[in-house]
Amino acid sequence: MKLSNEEYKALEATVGPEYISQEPVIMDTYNQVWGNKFFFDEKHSVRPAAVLLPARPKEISEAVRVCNRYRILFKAFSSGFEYLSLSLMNSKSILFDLRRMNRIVEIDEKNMRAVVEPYVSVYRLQMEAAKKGLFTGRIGVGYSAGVIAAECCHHGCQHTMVFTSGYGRNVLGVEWVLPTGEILNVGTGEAGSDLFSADGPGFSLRGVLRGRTGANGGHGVITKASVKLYPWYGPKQWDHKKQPGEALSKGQLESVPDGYKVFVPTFQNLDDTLSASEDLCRAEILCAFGIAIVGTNPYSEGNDEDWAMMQKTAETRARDIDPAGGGVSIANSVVCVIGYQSPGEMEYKEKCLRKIAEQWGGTFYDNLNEPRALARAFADIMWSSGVNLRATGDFLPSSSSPDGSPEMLKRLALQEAEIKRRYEQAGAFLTLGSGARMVSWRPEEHLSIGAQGISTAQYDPYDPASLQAARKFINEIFDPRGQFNRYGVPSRGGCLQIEPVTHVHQNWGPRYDNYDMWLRKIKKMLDPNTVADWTAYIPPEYPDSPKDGDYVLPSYGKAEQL
Amino acid sequence: MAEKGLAGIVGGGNVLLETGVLDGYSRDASFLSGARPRCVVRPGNATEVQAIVKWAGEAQTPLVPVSSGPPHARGDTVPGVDGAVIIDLSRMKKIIRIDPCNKVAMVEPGVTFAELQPALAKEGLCAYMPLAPRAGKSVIGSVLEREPVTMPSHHWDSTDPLLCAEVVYGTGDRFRTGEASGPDTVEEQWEMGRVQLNPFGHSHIDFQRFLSGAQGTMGIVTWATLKCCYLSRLTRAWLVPSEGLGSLIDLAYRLLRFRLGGKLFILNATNLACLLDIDAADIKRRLAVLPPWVLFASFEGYGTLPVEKAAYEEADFLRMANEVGLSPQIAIPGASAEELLPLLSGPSPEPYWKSRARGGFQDIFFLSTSDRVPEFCTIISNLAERNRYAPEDIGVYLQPIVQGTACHCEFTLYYHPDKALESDATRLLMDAACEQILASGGFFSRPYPAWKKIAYRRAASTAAIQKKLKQIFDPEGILNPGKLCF
Repeated sequence: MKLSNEEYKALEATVGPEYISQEPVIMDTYNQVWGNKFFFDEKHSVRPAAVLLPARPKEISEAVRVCNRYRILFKAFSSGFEYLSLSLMNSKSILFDLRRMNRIVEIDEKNMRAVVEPYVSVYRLQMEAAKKGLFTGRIGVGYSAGVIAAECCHHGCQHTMVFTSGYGRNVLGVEWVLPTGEILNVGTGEAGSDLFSADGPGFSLRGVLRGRTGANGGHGVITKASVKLYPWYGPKQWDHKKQPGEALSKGQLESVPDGYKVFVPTFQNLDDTLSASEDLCRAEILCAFGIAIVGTNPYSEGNDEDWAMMQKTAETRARDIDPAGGGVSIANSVVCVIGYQSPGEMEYKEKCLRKIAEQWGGTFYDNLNEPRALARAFADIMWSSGVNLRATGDFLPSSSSPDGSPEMLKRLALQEAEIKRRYEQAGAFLTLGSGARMVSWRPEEHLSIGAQGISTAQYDPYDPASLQAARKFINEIFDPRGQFNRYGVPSRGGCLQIEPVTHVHQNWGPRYDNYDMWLRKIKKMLDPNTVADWTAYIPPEYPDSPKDGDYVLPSYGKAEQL
Repeated sequence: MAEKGLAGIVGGGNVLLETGVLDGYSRDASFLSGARPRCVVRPGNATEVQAIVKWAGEAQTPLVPVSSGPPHARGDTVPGVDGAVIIDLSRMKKIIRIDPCNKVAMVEPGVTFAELQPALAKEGLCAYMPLAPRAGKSVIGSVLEREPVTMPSHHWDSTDPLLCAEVVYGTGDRFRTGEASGPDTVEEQWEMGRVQLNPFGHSHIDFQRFLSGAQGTMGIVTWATLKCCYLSRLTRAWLVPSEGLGSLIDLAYRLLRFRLGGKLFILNATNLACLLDIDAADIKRRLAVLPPWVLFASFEGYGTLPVEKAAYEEADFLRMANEVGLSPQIAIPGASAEELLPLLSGPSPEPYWKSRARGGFQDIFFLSTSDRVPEFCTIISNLAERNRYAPEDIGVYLQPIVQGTACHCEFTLYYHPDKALESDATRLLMDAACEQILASGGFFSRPYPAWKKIAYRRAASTAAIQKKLKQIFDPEGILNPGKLCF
């Protein structure tokens, strides 16, 4: 659906003719992301009617007011990693491409915060923050993830959350263009002070900003945020260089940077691995932590090579780790990063780590703990390479993806793995290893607020059987009448929640204290004309979709009205 | 008539109508005057709370939730309008569960720190403690008020240690925040390893953030789960004396940069003397020998290698102190770390430490960044002189929060309430100080009645959204009207 000339002109007036486009070839560059095939049955999601490149909040505010006047949907886009940030309810929609808003406004070294605009990536902020001895948390979607996208707008978990937290808990201030076009500064920002607190006066509007996940574009545009930073123990700069045997396009560290140490203990069985993991995380010694990750692999150049490498990993990794054939599984290895500012801190943390590993029978196998492997693990776990897409072209992220205690996550993961195994055995999903039981969670704040369960299934979206299997698998998990109904709402607003397709709120809200009812009221309060795209938030009212009993069936595919 | 309806919910014995009781709720130790409540109702469980809220909605009767015992001092529990019912939650005193593995405690709103700490200690845990709260202070009340805790390295977020909560909204709906929502009872959730640990959501909204800092205007919490800390098996505590504040702040920044230490805060001599002594004369004597400023730091040994943990942190602390030209001591003239340490693990011994010097006190607190705190100290000191209030009589408490990204800055004005001139000077100083703090960039994150108008003067957009949210969760406006911006 094209915009009328009047509508287009009104939008053009807000940013100037240089910074708006409705050319189809341009529009199509904004709706090709991974996951589209799964949800929409096509490579493309709904094509926006126009894209605007604003440079200032005022321009966005004026454009949003135009959207209200003409009932045009809008959504903001920065790093644009996935379908959540690009899905649109209909084609009378515009995208704000925020790439011109790319300043690191401030890094306050003393008070450990950075103020950034939306197009600042996590890695770019990291490089600048490191010069001042500071670090920013990241989410597991690669170096280019936007700081604001990760902290304010979307879901995403990360190996550094054990130390750097996440899910909005690092937000110290935001400037926010509401769906009405008003500009809201929360906390100290509105009071005219530095952006060191986003709470108050009174109760905090961070509660509206985001929960476990952000609004995914459903309640306006965040144009600036102040985020908490953490200590960086390493050098002010570092080099990524091509290493022997590795792809040219992916530079790697030659060694773990000074100020950090990395350890990869391997345990005899899953129970010991998870028990050790809990103890390690609660010891408050870790900067980053990963269970059962294969981040010590070299990076491959292309997707086919990645596939081949993953297959090799599956077949031979266990033998490589333990040539004696002790039945060791990569699923029972954990990657631990410690940082230190003094020799005493290093000695304590290493001694503590080794003692815990020893208590649970951990072994530090040479090939997982040789310097280059550790350097790879460091880069992967601290900054995230975002390699999950490469082997098969797509993946199902954190299919059920709750947060909670390690015990609960273990039960859930094992139940889910049983289902997943059926699809793996049918050849629909990439299989890692010889079917050893695998549980992975990502600890948050030294486990003091629990962890996020994480499981992925890698499938080929262009293999009809694999795609069909992926959907069947998700249907099993997302059906609240099934065995997962007591573990929490799947996706919880992130991951696979495209509301017109998976109907998560509609199916699960009534079972979970009617949270969806409050969410909808808040959406209506913020966005009375429903102009902020709600496909990854909540619809103004639930559609009358086909049901099986009271279960609303998934609506895969794309239509103008989905 | 109304009282009959309430008696039907909680039993006649839990509806209080005595004049003395009602008068007690109509004022507090602040300078503000409020309205006299029509009665006090004391529910014993969440079902009764819900029934009371539904009754209040139908009867269009304001409810003022109160969980802590007297004396109150901030005006938030004094009815802002006539005809209100005080909903006193102090009967809800269950420590419902302590989970030592996940370091979580689930408590009802009537539980005090004096009750919770021993129960936690049995499980090898301790609470996130504010600085020597008064004896009757509710743990949940303290947490919901975002009272700063003395362990800034462990204070990741402003809402800590709040995890999940059950709340009755002004609509009468019962809701569980974060991981706690769902089809199961909490007992059923425990059976499957769900321990109400994760605070996020549900979904796109962080519902607990509407309760924290709300002064009971958004809902009534009937239980909450709280993060706890490991109980230290050995603690090394230090005092760092200083003539000036700047170097102590530098040291605090260095420690927090690397999340070192357990308890960490700065007091001036006046506050330290009030904390350590009971008698006013002893406070005066001690004050004469104490250094002007003292930083307290403790290094806690727990976990796998408790001795080594405390030792390395202590060694790094001593090095950092040396780098900024400070000399930590176990004991300084007029005080010792050993003397102070036990006071930090529980409520203040009676009388409450702020009441000891002169009987009365008024707190002014706000947020800043630590580096700006000396400016505020100068501002308050200058204002005190202008308002005929001796600057040395002002207590100062600086508490880094959220891992050092901000600082709770608290000035306590001690005075004799029965001396009109002192009271007047205190009142004038307080009003002038609040104005000047706002003008200088201090942030009144917790807008208690004494400064709420000032706090909201630069928060018009925030207030507009808060009012709309209030309309959603409490459409009849029955929960603590007259507070915040409502």
